[in-house]
Parts: sequence; C-alpha cells; structure tokens
Amino acid sequence: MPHDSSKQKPLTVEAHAYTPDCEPGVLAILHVAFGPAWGDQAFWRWKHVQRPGFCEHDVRVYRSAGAVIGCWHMAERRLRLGSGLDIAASVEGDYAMHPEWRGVGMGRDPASLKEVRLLAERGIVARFGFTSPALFERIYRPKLGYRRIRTVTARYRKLISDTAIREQLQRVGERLRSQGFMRKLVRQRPLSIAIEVSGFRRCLLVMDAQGARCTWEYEVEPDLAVGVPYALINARTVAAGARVASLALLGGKLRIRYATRFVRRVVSALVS
Amino acid sequence: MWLTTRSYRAGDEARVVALWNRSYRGYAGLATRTAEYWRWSILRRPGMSEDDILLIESGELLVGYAALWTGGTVLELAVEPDLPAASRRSITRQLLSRLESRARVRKWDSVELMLPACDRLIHRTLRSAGYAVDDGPTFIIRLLNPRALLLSLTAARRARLVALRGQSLLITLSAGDDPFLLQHRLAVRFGDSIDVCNLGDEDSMSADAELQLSLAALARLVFSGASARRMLEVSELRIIPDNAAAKVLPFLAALAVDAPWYTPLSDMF
Repeated sequence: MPHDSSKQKPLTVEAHAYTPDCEPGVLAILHVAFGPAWGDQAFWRWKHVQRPGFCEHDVRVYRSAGAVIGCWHMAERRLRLGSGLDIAASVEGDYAMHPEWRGVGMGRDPASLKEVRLLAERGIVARFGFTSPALFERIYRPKLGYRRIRTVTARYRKLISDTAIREQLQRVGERLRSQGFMRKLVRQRPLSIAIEVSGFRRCLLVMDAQGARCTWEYEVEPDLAVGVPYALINARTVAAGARVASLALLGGKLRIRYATRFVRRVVSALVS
Repeated sequence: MWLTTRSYRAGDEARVVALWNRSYRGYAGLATRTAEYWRWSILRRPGMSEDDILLIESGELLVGYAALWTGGTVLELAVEPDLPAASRRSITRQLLSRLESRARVRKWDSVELMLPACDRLIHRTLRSAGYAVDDGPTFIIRLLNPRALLLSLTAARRARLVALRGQSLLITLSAGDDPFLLQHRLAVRFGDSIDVCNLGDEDSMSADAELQLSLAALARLVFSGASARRMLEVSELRIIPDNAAAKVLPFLAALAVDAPWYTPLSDMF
C-alpha cells in the first residue's frame, strides 16, 4: 500500500463514475472545498446530470474507506478553433479534494492515467478549464502540464446599490489608511471624510488607528466633504484616480468642502 | 432605428441562438450554440427568471439579447454584428440600462459581464456607462490526443500546406510537465490528403525531417500562437536536420489558431 510519509495518509483511494447515491457525498465535498456558496443539490443536478449529453463518466468520485474524499467533473464540448474547425474537448471543473487528501499525488497516479486513457477512448482531443493565476502557477502548469491561453475575455462590473458603494469606499479607506502618511495622520484622532458618489447615498468614511469604516450615519462632523463622479471609485491606480479627479474638477463634477480644515490638519501632522 | 425591449417568450430560442452564433462567429473557444443547449444553459438554470432574459427588436428583427442571472451576473449578451456602429452602440446602451433596472428591482448590488475586450465599440460603450474592467478568468488547456488535433488542423489548413506535398515529417513528443503522454511518435505524410499516424517504438520511419518538442510546447504553438522560430532559438523545439527549418516552420505557423479566444459567463464550468 503506498504511503504518504509527510501526512501519514495511506493512499487507499477508489475511484468510480457517477451513481445516484453519491450525490450527497459529492455535494458535501464541494462545500468543504468551495463553501456553501458553491450551490445546492438542485444546482449540482442541473449543472451535471441534467446537462444535455451527460454520461455517468462525466463525474468521478474518489472514496477512501467508503467515504467520499474528492470529486471531479467534466462535460464533453466541441471547442471551436476557427471557422468550420472544431475538436472534441472536455471542459473540466468542480474538482474538490478533502483538505486531508490534498498534496498526496492525486491526478498523477496510475488511476488517473486510466482515466486519461478513458477520455482518449471517448475521442477527447484536449482538456480545458478555468482557474486562478495562482492555482495555474502552483498546480496546473508544473504538476499537470496545462498551458495558459491568452484570451480577449474581460470582466466588466458596475456597482448599482448604495450598499455596494459603501463597501467599495470602505475598501478604498483601508487602502488609504495603510499608506505611511495616512497612518501618521490618523494616529492621534480619527479622520472622517463625507463622500457623495454621484447618484448614490452620501457616506461617512472614518479612518483611525484601528481601521477604516464607512457608514451612512453622521456620527461626527467631517474633516473633509467631497462629491465625486462614479468613475473615480473605479480607478485601479492612484495615477488613474488622479487623472479622473483632474478631469472631474475641470468639468465641475468634483466638489470639495472644508478644504481649509483638512489642509490645516495635514500641515499639523507634517510638522508634529 | 426604433428599438423595443421585451422579456423572453416561449419560442424565442431559435432567434436568440441564431443571433448569438452570428455575434460570436469570429471567436475561438466557443461551441456553436444549439436551441437545446441554450434551453439548458440559460432557461432551465436554477434561479433564472424568464423576465430577466431581455430581447431588443427593431421591427421583426432581433438585434440584441442578454440574460441576467442571480447576483447581477449577465450570463450572455449579444448585439447584431452586421449593423452600423451607431446602432450597435444604441442597442448596447439600451440593454445595459434595462439590465441595471432589472438588477435594481431584484436588489442586487452590481451588474457583471464577461465580454471580448477586442470588440472596441462594446468595450467603449461599457466604459462610458461606468463599468470597471478587469482581466477575465485564466483559461487553461492540456493536449490529450495530438494525432487527432493534427488531423483536424491539417485537413482545415490543407491549402496552406501544398508546398509540402510529397514530404513526410516525424514528430517526436516528450511529456514535459504533463504526467501522461499517450502518443509520442507521429508520422505526417503530405499527399493528396494529409495523413497523421501514431507510431509505436518499434515502427521505423524514414522522414524528410524530424520535429522534437514537448506536448505542452505543441499546445502553445497551436492554441497560444507561440512563435516556432522563438521556440527554436530557446531550444523548446528541435528540427532535424537544421536545414529543414525552412519547410517545417511554415507548417507549424499554419497550425496556429488565429481567432481570438473568448468565453462567456454561461460557458464557465
């Protein structure tokens, strides 16, 4: 019996294809790996067994001593490479392993070779999936031989609720507070900035030695009040933010109040 | 152009799928949609409401479509590609406005889409509507059956390979980072048709040239448009004899997928 000396875990793992009785165990292991936000049983059934063309070999269940310790899912798709040219491919995902069984060589063992042969027999030409850059560099490239494809796919996002704006401003506040000068500025007493993002409810961002919080309640008189266009909170870098702010200022879309009070506070922090 | 917006009605599938396939015909990575796939992927997805599947029509013509799912995720968005830029911009704006209204009604915090950034008109329309842009997900690929891949590619690109007629090529593959290599010697013969055979260790072959590379290097050449010349320089591939490079490099260039890769949110797995 193979044995992983680092984790003292005997590698007695059996793999089998989908059977209806495996569903609760598979869902439980997906929740262990990704949390309940992954989805419920209805979602799992829709995504896998109710998919057109599903076959039981599209779900792989790993067990040890009868308990489900991992799972892997695939779907056979035609992958288009160009006009009139496509190949049989398997898109793969929902790969989950119980934490105690991670890093013991699953995916490179003889059972996995058998699965790869099975895929080839089904006519699969290439395997593909989606992951994070970190997982790709740590596992998929060095251990499993995957390659990254540069795509033109971009993610676009727009915040549309007051709550989302408040959370975004709080994150901005956390980033600001971690800057050297800001830490000095808020060391003695909190700095509060009233921020009104165009089209959304006004918030109060309070930064102090402990952290940053953004509220709708005005618990203190602000040290500075600004009205900013929505585009400013999307800025990914300080330079981009400065560019948007400059344009907004020129266009009259950036409003500032209590500037003198704020400058006095900055100067006193600089000289102290 | 007079545009009207409405929600999905039973029987719209065929027109939606036709618009989708027309809109994304120039991209790699997507399976061509069928009505059955669309019904499963969009209509029967848990949490999907028919009210959130939006269609824009100009008279009888379907010119725009989007499917909004839980949390403000836009699974798909398509705009008729053959219209003038001003019309496409106007349709996109109208779709975005309706998507945001629906998302507000459902009390979702944001609207999120995954679209090809190389469509500059759509990209600029989204940016001017206040959408922040980020990288899409990391798309990874692993080659399993190089023979089948080469058969498909050489058949599709035969016209670009006529100069090699009568020649033969031996491709020797190494596993590289991949733990499993199912085929490691392939013979390519260029005749009336192009034949690709899997050779065993004991099979001998006299070829005009031999190409040595890893499975991952072949995947990069085909799927990522990696430069064969550059790979030759850094010894990621080897051509024997050296003077056969003039024949082999155009062959490798003909294999590359040149369409941009795009994956909509509905195709994420």
